[in-house]
Amino acid sequence: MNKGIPFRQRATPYAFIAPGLLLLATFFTYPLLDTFWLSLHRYNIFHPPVWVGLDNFRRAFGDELFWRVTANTLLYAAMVVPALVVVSFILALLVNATIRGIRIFRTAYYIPVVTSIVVAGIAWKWLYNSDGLINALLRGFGIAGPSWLADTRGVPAALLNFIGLEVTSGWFSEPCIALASVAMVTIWKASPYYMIIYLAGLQGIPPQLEEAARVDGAGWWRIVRHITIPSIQPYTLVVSIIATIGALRTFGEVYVMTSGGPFHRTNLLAYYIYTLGFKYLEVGYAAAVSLLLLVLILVFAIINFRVAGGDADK
Amino acid sequence: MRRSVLLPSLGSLCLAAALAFAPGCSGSNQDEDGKIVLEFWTIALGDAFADYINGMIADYEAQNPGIRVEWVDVSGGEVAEKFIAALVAGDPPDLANVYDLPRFLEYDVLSNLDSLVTDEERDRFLPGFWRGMGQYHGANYAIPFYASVNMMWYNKEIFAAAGLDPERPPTTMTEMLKMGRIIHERTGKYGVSWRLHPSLVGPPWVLLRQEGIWPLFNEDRSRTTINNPQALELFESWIDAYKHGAIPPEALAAASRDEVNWFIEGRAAMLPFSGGWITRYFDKSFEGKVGMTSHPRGALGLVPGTSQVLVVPRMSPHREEAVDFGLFVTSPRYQLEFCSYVAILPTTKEAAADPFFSQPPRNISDEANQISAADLPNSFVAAPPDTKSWSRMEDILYEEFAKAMGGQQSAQEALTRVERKWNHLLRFTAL
Repeated sequence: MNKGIPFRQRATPYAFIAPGLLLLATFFTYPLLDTFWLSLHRYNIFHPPVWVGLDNFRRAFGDELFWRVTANTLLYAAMVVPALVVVSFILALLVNATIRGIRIFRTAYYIPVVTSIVVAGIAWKWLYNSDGLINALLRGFGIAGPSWLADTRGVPAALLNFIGLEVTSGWFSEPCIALASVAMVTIWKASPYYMIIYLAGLQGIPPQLEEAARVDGAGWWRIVRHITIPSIQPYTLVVSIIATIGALRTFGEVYVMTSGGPFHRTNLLAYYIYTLGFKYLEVGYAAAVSLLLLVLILVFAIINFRVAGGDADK
Repeated sequence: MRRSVLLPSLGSLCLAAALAFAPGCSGSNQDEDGKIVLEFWTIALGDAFADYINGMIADYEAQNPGIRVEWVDVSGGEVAEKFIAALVAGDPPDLANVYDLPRFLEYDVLSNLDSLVTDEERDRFLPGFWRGMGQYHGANYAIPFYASVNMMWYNKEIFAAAGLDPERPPTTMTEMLKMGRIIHERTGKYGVSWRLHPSLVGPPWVLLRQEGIWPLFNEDRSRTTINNPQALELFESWIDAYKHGAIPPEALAAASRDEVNWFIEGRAAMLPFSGGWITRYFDKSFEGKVGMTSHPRGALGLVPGTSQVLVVPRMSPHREEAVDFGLFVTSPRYQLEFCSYVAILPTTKEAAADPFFSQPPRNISDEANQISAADLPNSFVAAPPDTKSWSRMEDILYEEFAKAMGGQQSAQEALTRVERKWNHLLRFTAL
């Protein structure tokens, strides 16, 4: 098929994509292959790697802490992803309004995204202190707030307790207040980013659709439900996939705010990998857990893709 | 057309070459004049101490014409990771101020200084500090750079509000926890600014050592001895203090330097901590409220101290020169000069005995430093046990202690679990 095309002409597109491919190979393919290679070795950085086959993976499956941290991570994603989809969609609806000064609101809402997680984490720690601003506000309503980042009571149990019901069942013990508090920071920080994605989607909806619906007597909610939400479904897919990947890889919030404590209740996989690799220098094991995290991310990306109808064209 | 094909390809090759050779671009071990180049790392001394460090280097180079010293100042939060990266790249500094020593000691990447330093030079140092942070299995791998000895900071205003005499701070650890409870009951403030997670000073194993519950392992380090009635009593007293508000609830999930912040924010009344350097965070109004005294004693009667250290990587091609420069840096003259710029303590006998530490204080920082200095002879270096996998063991201790503080298990259950998990690790990392 290419016989009639001179070599130089055939080579040109490859030459153009070569820099991109080289960067991809250097910063993605090589590290991935190297991680896989490391995962098959016991390696402490300072001494040559020792081949251990699949031992690191077997060790992970038998590691109580790995399972606990994985469960924390899944629970965290289960809190963060739906909240991000809903909150960022609502924010996008609000800033999509054509009112005076709306650009100021859009910029203001976006500030958390460009704020360093270290700065945001420290500020939130102050807010969350047992004698911090949040609890001071709650005290104004006669409520004694918890120590948000150190309280390991379950959120459902604490809420039931608040309305006077004592529960002891383990069913009400998750998610714990500390983990939910960390999740709140992620939601606060990331939702404006997804708001922008939704905003792009909302601005792409033909105004005629809404006008026709309005003429037919549809109210605000029916327009949102039957026109807006179906129209931005591809954007919901993008948001849910990126949010899931982001939630499963969360590191900064834990590093700055809790160091994984109290007793690993806020320890997430990315932080656990960091601890294994940089603190304990168990690089081979850290590489194996990294690959397991990669598999987890892939599985959830595929589930998201299927559930949100990303393969509807097939 | 040819140009359009060649340019991107050439660009790619250049990028690849740059990436491939970048790590190898750091300095060679000799300069163009044939002088030995020593790379010297410090932690976050920055511009404030540049004149002091550069002056010291100039003096050393004048005395040693065949050597040139390259000074690199590394930011505090990254030094251990950068040191690891430099070791892995095969291009470590020749002399470095690093922390988190246990992992470097465990993996045998530092020079044993006992064979590189003469007895006479060794005798210059305060004995506890020479065999301090860098001790591992009977040998010493670090030159003590400068020291700090813990003292007690307290907020007189909170003491007065709690009905306690601001001129009578606690003198024992037991009294400190008792006063902490009283302060919380009467003012709602927390008594002791302390956090469980790895802290600069005062982690649970240091509390054990202060009470004389030491060593934590049997002689051949095959089993732990931590599960004993004295340790149980100590754990129970701290758990009880936590449950009664003597310690902030965030102590279980706090990060670096939080305990200093809580004290300065006025949330907690007492801060058992190191010396005068934290005064840089005080404002004038806070200085008026602050009281200072020596650190409360445990059963051992000694105060925890620590030291910054200089290490020489085994793979340095100029280990002897690096040690010589390290001893120059820590000589009494330069230690004293350093102490005159910042609230730190010396690690050599001659410098520690200097009248500088008994002169009238110029400011609150000097005053604090003198309180610390007075306890130099009564201090022990809070060096972690020289046991393999100590980082993991330390985390296990924190986790189980935290669970007990959080009411998830009793102190006895915590100790039993620590004992079981530590013994399991010891079995698998047998020496």
